[in-house]
Amino acid sequence: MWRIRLYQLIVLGVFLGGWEWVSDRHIRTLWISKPSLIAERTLDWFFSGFIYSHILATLQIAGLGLLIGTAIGVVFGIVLGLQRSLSRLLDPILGGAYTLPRIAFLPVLLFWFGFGFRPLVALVVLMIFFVLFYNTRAGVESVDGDLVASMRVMGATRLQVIRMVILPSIVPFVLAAMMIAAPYALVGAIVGEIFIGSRGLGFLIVSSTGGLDLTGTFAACLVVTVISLIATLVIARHGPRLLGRSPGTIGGSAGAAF
Amino acid sequence: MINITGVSKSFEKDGQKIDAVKDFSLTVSDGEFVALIGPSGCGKSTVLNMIAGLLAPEEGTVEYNGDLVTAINTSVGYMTQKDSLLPWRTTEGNISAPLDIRRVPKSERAALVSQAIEKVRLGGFERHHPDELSGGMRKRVLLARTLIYEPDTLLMDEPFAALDALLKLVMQEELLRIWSEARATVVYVTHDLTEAISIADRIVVFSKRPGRIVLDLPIELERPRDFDTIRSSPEFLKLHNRVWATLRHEVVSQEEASGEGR
Ligand SMILES: Nc1ncnc2c1ncn2[C@@H]1O[C@H](COP(=O)(O)OP(=O)(O)O)[C@@H](O)[C@H]1O
Ligand SMILES: [Mg+2]
Repeated sequence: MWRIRLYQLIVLGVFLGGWEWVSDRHIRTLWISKPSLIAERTLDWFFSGFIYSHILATLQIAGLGLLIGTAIGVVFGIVLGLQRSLSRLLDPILGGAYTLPRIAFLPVLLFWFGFGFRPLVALVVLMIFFVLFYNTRAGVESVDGDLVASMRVMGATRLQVIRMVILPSIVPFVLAAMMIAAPYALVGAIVGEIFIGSRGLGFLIVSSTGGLDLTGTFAACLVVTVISLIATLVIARHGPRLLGRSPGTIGGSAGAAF
Repeated sequence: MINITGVSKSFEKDGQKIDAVKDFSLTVSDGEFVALIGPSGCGKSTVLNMIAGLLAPEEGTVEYNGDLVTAINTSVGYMTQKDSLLPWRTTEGNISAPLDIRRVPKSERAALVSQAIEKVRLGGFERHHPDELSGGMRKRVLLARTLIYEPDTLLMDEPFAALDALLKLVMQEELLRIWSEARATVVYVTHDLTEAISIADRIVVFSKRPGRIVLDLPIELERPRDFDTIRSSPEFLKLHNRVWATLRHEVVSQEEASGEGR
């Protein structure tokens, strides 16, 4: 294991060293910047405090979009999970919508929601909706039909069944979907900012490039990578524990008895 | 009083129509303990589901206390064949589910739940989750949950089938003890003949699929019953032989029919 790690470090070192060496000797630094400059700029951003408001802006959009997208996806997932025939009816339409390039809707979102952070949040919602929807629906469909039937015979209304059986059952499905969706939310926020942002990491990337400041571009990309890595590590470490006490049961059909 | 008249119900399986029950009739009086017995797949669960209003018959009618069952029948308590506890709730939480549903005030709930727990002898396991309980304990939780809202009728679908022989005996005795106090009507599905004769007032034997009644026999053994003496009594053996002769025929021909199908 340490061997592989060592080789990986060597490869990375050779790559960065080569880049450092080539820059200004064979290719102008203007075109490709330089690892040392990028590192310096990144550190400078963190120490001067310049970067935090941009990180915060991007995370706010991604986080808000994740929450709203989760809420909408869960509601749709529950409704269609319980209404099999409606689900079958809408399946091809949803499948088609799933394959649409969501970023193409940005101008429409801009038109609907105006400038500012709203169209960006909407883009993130579009990016993650289907992950949440499909996972939630799968969760609802996996709820044991006998569980629902016995609650109904005990006198539970449909709403009580949703509250007492369906919602607790789908928790692990929704959490798992949120973990899958989190990186998409980040990407959605950044891509959106690249097109229409006035701050945030995506904005930093595009404005640096626009000013022919590739050091800034690469530094912003580095920050994005670091944030993604941290998010992935946090999810990998704490995700399984969140999913640990999985209340869901397998098999059967909630819709039938519902 | 349960009045099932001429009901039929079929299912679609792999594009084929399967008659689960056909022109089936059964009347159960109030306070009666009826055991339904028959080969597996003969439609016993289907009948219970129709009494509970979970399935609608395609033909015929199901009446409960004189009213046609057209929606879910919340006057019955139903212990389904599968274990239907909420995995994320503790013993207490599961038993109080019907009270939560009925919005019984919190102050009354605790007393009722601890009473029920005492009745099924689950003291000490109030805070355990179902996956921390043994099979027998889970059945007790189910029983307590079903009894706590005092339904007039208990539908029990092979409730103790998965338990080992000794535990089964214990559970049967407890059920009878509880039943003698509650005096509910019980419709009890089983495929265990000894069990059926030991606990029921009446045995109804199903034919192989589609289920019809091939034998309807009163069990006139004295109550309260002591399983140890009852099971070696001559009356018991006579009943056993009588029912077994009929049941055996159905089970064997069911086996042959499913064998030919393969
Ligand atoms: N939901 C269903 N879908 C398809 N077939 C079913 C369904 N429920 C029951 N059946 C079929 O109907 C027949 C009777 O089932 P059931 O009432 O569960 O029998 P039992 O409880 O006596 O074993 C069986 O052959 C079973 O396969
Ligand atoms: Mg059955």
